[in-house]
Amino acid sequence: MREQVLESLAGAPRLVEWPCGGRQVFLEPSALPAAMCRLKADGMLLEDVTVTEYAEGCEAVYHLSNPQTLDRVTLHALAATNGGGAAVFPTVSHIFQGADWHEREAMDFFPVTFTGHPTPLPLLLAPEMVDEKPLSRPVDKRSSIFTVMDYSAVVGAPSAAPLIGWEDEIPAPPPVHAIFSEGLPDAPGDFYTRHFQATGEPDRLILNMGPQHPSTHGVLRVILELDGEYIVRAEPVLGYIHRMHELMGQNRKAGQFLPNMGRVDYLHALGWNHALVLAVEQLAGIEVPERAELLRILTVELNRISSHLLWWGAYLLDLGAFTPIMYGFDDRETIMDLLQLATGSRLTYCYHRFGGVSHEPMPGFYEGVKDFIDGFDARLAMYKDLVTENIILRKRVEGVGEMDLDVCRRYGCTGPVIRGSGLAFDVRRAWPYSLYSEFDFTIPVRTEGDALARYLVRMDEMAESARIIKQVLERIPGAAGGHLHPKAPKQDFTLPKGVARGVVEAARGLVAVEVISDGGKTPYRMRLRSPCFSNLSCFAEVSRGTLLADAVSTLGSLDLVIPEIDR
Amino acid sequence: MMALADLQIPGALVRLVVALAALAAFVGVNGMLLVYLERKVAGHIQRRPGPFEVGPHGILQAVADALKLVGKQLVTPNGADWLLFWGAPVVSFMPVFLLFLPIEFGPGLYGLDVNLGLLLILAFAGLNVVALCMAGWGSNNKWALLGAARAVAQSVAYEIPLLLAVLAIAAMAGTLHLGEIVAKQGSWPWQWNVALQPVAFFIYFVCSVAETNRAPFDLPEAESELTAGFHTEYPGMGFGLFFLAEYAEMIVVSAVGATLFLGGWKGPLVDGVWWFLFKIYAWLLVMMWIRWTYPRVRFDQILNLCWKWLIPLALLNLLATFVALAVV
Repeated sequence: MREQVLESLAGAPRLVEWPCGGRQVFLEPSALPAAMCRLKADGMLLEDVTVTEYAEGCEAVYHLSNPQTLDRVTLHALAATNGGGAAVFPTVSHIFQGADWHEREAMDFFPVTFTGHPTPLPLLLAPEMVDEKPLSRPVDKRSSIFTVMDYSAVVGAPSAAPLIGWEDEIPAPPPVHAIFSEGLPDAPGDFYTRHFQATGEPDRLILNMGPQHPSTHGVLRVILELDGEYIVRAEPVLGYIHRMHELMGQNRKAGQFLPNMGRVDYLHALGWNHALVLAVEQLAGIEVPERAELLRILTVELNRISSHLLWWGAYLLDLGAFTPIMYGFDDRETIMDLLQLATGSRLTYCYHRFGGVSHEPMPGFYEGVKDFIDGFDARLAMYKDLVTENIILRKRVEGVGEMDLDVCRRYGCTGPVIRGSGLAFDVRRAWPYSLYSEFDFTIPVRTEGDALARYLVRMDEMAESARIIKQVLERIPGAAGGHLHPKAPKQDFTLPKGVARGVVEAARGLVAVEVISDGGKTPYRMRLRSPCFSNLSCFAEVSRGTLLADAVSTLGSLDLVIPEIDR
Repeated sequence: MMALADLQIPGALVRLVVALAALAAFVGVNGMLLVYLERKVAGHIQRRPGPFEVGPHGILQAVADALKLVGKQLVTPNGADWLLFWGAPVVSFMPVFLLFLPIEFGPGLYGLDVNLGLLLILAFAGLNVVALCMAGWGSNNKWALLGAARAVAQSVAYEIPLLLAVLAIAAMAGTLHLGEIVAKQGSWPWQWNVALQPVAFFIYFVCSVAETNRAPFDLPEAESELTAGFHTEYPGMGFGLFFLAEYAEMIVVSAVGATLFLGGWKGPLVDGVWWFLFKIYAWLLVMMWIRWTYPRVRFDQILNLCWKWLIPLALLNLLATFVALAVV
């Protein structure tokens, strides 16, 4: 079977339509750069790179979507691991710069190499752990790719050549923006500073911003080369709070993995909850009653508001205004009290279940939400008067950290970042899930692409979330069904074979949880696509030539949650 | 008594020593009070009670803070220049007493009767930037260095409009003696210099915030950018002295401001030291109010504000003052 597939792929890339996943293109690894070039020219955005290890070798799956036409393409490339060696793929990081980090991450976790990668240094793992390859399985534990998915459909599938430009000429790769140098073994500092050598110009300062810095909100580290206070080069160093959630996803049943979602992104825990349950429900064909969907939307949107409120306060703290965060927390406190009535917890919510939600909210929840939402518009108006219109704030955010659509596409930026750059790309509208298509809300868009645009988009989003919540409250008394579908499986049920990907819009952007199951007790692979990871990856490019204070402003405007980046 | 008379201690010296002792007490007490006040003001602006645990309404919080700071181990960072590192807080704090000497708190209530009181204050206020520079350089820390670089650029720039604004008042009063400047103002607000020199007052106020490195001009310590700027490495009382010096300087700039523009100890109905203290604290509260309201400006913005707006404005104001003096 494998030979047949390979033979078939050698002729041309093959296009297979999967009912739930859109267009799937299967190709040889060597054809990846050409395909990527064509897809990039079409305006595609590289969402994620999922690498999975099978008995046949490593499969790299590139998820691309077009934020304008909402077209989706998934590229599958299978490379054999020759005699225990590494599977080899060509790099696409010179085409989609966002792939740089995805590829480095894959090289950390799997025995794969991406030839031509400019800086193949460890990204999430500590440098001394780089040979561990934590997601690689022993040979006898690897499943065949044919048991997991319908890979044999490739044979006899129509050619995808017209779609991805198989026979097109590959354009010359643009110059690579290499941040890390070869490395000087005797230079002072740790692994990364040794690889981050000064450019040799006089009067330059190499500065480690973080991992203990007040404005990196956690343990992000950015190595900077400064000329005075101007940033010449900057490169984020990740992995200080890396907890290997993807491995945890493989070690336990999907239901047992649900609480992890609140730890991945503690600020929008329910968004991640939603992505995982969507993926599992897709895979196992579980239905969700209307009432449960409404409860999901209600809690997710409340959680989105609380996440944005915290971002708002913390961002102004970055800009040196101490007071707004207290006002933000005041409102956030109310939301946390309300969500406690619904979910039982205050921060790391785990409310969603396969087939519904865990239980009905406690009494007083709906009244509390109504009161909060009724007063919230006035609060937003006050925030606008007190903070948004302030001239010092305006001067600190206007024209700072400008990112155009091209940057967003190349790095895979989503969420308020891409909406601040002029595209109304919101998963809730692009590929409606749950009942979002039945609600009336607009997607705030700004075209400036600066920090102010992202700021205003988030402020408007809170108002839109409040609108959705109002509509949910009206619908919920007459909603059909209970909080959980009567035929919902037990939460620790065994997943059927297959691949499913739950894509949702979380507070920070496009969140995707990809569940790959070989029918075993635990998922074969659990891939978490974090929006912050991609949003941050553009920082090196965006911050070049800006002032240190502007870099802080830019970092804050990306709304980073470091545990979500490191996972 | 006899012995004292035999020693023939000059009266001015006794006065100076007594004044310095009184000022030390004044600065210490008011520093503590301001720390408490700042935290309470911040609390109430942020819709929380502020310190509430140590003593009734947390009035002993400042004492607890001071004890904590005193009790901390003094650590010198690796590679720091010992002399510069530990000299900086002292250099920052010591001149503060000198700054208070020529200020007239009430009728005849001053430490040093000096003709050039204003000049003395302006000269010794400049020492603070030396202290920040020493701290930043001696710490062997890049953040501290950046903070010191900012401090120098900012303080030097803002001293110019400050001087020009003060000069307008001095030209009007025809003296640099603080007591005489007060004497030339009346008891009612429209007789104060602020009514005659509103532009100079505005410039002086902005500069006073910038010179004391208070938000929104707190760039040398900007903790969201430079962790803590020039005092990043300071433990315990090293930081404590900087902290106290900052508050003492706030008192100085508001005292000088009150003297120059708000009629000093003169006030409606009954003149006296209470009016002076009232004006100082009103000024300080406005500075706190500003700190807890606005975001921090960017470094190029703060310098642009000074060089492009305040200095030309101050020059024009000075010119207008001279013209008016010549004509009237």
